Amino acid sequence: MSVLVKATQVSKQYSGQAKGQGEALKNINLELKAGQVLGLLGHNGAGKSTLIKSLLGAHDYQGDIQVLGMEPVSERAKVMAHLSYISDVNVLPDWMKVNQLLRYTAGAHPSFDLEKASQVLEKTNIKLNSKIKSLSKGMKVQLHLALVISTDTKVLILDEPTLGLDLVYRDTFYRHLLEWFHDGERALIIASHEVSEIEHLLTDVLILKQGKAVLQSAMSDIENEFVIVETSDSEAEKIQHLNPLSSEKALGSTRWLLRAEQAQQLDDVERIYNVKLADLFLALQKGAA
Amino acid sequence: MNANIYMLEKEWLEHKMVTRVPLALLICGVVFLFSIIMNSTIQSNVTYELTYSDGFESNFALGKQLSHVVFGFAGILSLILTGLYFPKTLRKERQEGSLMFWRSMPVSDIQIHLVKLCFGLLAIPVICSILVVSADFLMWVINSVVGDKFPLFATGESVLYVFTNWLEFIARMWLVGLALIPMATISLAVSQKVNSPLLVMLVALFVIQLVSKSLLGAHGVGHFIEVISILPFELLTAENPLSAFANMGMVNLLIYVLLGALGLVISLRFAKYAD
Repeated sequence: MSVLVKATQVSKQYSGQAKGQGEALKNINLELKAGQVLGLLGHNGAGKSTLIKSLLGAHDYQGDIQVLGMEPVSERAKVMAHLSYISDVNVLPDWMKVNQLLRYTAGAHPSFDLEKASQVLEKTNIKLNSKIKSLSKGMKVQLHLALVISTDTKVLILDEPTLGLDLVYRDTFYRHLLEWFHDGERALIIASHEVSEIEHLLTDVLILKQGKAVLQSAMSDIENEFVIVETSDSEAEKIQHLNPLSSEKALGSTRWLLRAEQAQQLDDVERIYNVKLADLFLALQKGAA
Repeated sequence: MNANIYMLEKEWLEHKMVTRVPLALLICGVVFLFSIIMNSTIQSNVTYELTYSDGFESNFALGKQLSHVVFGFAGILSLILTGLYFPKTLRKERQEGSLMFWRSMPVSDIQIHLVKLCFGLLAIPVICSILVVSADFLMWVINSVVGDKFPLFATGESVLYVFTNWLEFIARMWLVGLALIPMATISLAVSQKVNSPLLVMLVALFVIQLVSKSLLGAHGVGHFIEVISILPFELLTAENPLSAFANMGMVNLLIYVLLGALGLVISLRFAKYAD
């Protein structure tokens, strides 16, 4: 599989801040191949949007980024022929009508398939002569997705795409997204707070905290690398020495989130649970990196 | 079709003022003209006075004067619309939040700038030229159809004049557009960084002029600003519009061109990032 996105030692220091202070992104490395779905997770201000903006060439950064072998700032126009982005806020021009937007995109984007976009929109409640301003948030996201899936996009970046959408729209959104994704050699980056909502889609995860990567792993490795063990309270002191990622008190017992190799050192384990991404995310965000 | 055509169409759709103001004025003009024609008393009164005082040629003079007034008025309107378009166009995308969408299109910043320059400096004058050709055409129709009974708007010109006057307006306004390129690029650059670019540029011009005059005792800056301010009007009205460039002086022209190039470079630099 060819590498579609490669970021090497990417950092971002906003101007007006002393070096080392207020660094929004610090030495991030990532490689994304066709078929991979990367979950970009992190608390507010963790650096998700800064990383996304860097990948989109929307701001200056330190380090090296290659999207389909091209640098996104200096070669933005070429990169955008194969890279798309849907954000948590509407970026579509409100003053335009849907058919005007389709016409513009068909003219400006060489790989845009107007017929396909019209077919996708036919299955929705979006009328072609409606003003974008008059559409609901869910409709705007549907419209934007219809534009994206009607182009020859190789890499799609989604920044909290379903924020504020009801369950029906979320379901439709992910259904269309997956259909599109499995239709070609594509890669997907999804930034979201809704960890449980996207967990099943991901092949890889990158968890950011204060601009640094605190976990970067394939989803299949997470089950092997981390484990939740339930022990009696009497084992607490012993486990504390292993520096668990997190702990949760229950009645007479405690659940510990540990690295798999640490769990093997324990004798008196009552139960062992698989780790969910949400547990890991919470544990890492609370400080035990 | 070429992507530039769709990008120009987008500017046309986005900046409705550019089409609505000339259209509204055109409708007002037509209504005004027909109200005069329909007024049975005004024609005999005015025609009588003109004929009495200046002879038959005065009818031609009034028609021609009216044609020249519309020519000048349409030119000034075009200048105003262009002057309002450039400080707004890039700013609007940032303010309304659609910048990331436009940036997601495989279109380079230089192409976006060139399309905006073409729209502001070439397309807006063509839109305003509708006023010129409509006025001349209507007067020609009135002369042809009811000229004997209604000599008030007689120009004495053929339909060819309607066409050539229209082309002359477009040609002159495109020359004005050429002269406005530096202003346009500077506006595009400033508009990406400040909320009220027009105000900032006017205040900056005033302050630069004042400082150079009062503190440095240099009148050159004031003279330069004066020269570039009257250049569009000279191009619009001078017998030989190209002489307006010559009248500027080589040094002023060179500085003006350099400022324009600098404005374009800075604007492209600002457009490189979405921040």
